[in-house]
Amino acid sequence: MLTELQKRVFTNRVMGKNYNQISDICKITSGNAYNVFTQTINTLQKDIKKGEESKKILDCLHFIYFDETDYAVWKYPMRLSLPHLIFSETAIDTAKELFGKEYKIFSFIKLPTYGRRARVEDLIVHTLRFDHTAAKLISERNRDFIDDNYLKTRIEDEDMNKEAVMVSFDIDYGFDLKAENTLRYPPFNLKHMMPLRISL
Amino acid sequence: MINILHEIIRDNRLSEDKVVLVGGLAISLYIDLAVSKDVDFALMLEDYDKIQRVDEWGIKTVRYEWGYVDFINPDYFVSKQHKGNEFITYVKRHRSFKKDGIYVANPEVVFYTRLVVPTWESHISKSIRDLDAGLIRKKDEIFFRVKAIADVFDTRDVIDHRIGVLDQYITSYFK
Repeated sequence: MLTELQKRVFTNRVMGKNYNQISDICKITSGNAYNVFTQTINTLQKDIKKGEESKKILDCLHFIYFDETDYAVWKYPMRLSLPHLIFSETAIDTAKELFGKEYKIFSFIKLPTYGRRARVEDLIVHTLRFDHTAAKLISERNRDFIDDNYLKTRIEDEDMNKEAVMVSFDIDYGFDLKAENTLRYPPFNLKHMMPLRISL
Repeated sequence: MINILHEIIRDNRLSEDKVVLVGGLAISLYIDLAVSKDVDFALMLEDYDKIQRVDEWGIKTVRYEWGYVDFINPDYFVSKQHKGNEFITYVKRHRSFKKDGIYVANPEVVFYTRLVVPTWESHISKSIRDLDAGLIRKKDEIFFRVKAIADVFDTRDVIDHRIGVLDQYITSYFK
């Protein structure tokens, strides 16, 4: 549907590259890069009526981005093999095709917000899917910054009740979460609970 | 990443031949896994004694700006009939691979070391994470090998019970 050039310009622009940078990457002038991007968007918007594929590509304009900096900022430094991009479920296949080589692609059932830096509650819910210890420690280390109601809403939106109960978020925050026959983890090791740069 | 490991070994005046990388980082060199920046090394007792830090439950921790490095006393991995150094030698010889000069423990060793230490319960969630990241397909194989390691170091009575508990969590999570 899109030409290779359109795909390259589109993905680079979506990831925040400016037109000068895109011109270097794609070996075209920056004016051409601008034209290719705007024409691509116009074409996709017109094609929406014709088919789902255009909509899926346009859905890729909305995503949440997490990398190691986010984990460092929220006091649980992690090693990620690639930065993470989270799209809506409708965009996931297209996103994998467009961005899968440079990013790990995930989806949220509800994409509440988008931008290069998301909320800590979204980081916790995302992390809860692949590392329960990390999600628990991010929650404990940033307790003062967490909006309890928003966290509960996001846990329920993403159908993460079981994982949330396993790490006892329902007890920590006083949530009423339904997850029958779920085993809770025993208390977590406190050895490295203190954030870095704070004297033990 | 490997450069950091070499730097840690050099900084602490250790020998590459006497340390084995364990913990989540070892697993992440085996499968694609997001892990904390902390590093865990099991090491020969003579090298463990060189680390000038307080011993807490068989672990001496050195803090770096980017995370913690835990040096682990191998005596905690074996029963009283054995010496910790035997464990390091056994893992190096039979249950590890070498990556750029560093011995990296196989997954069954990481699972075994988490289960055999007194703080084993706080490691359950990490084992669930590793299984969820792709090792679940090899669960039976890994548990078989964990038990084989336990047989070598006479810790089978401890390990059998703890594997049973871990298995309950696996059933609860993956059902």
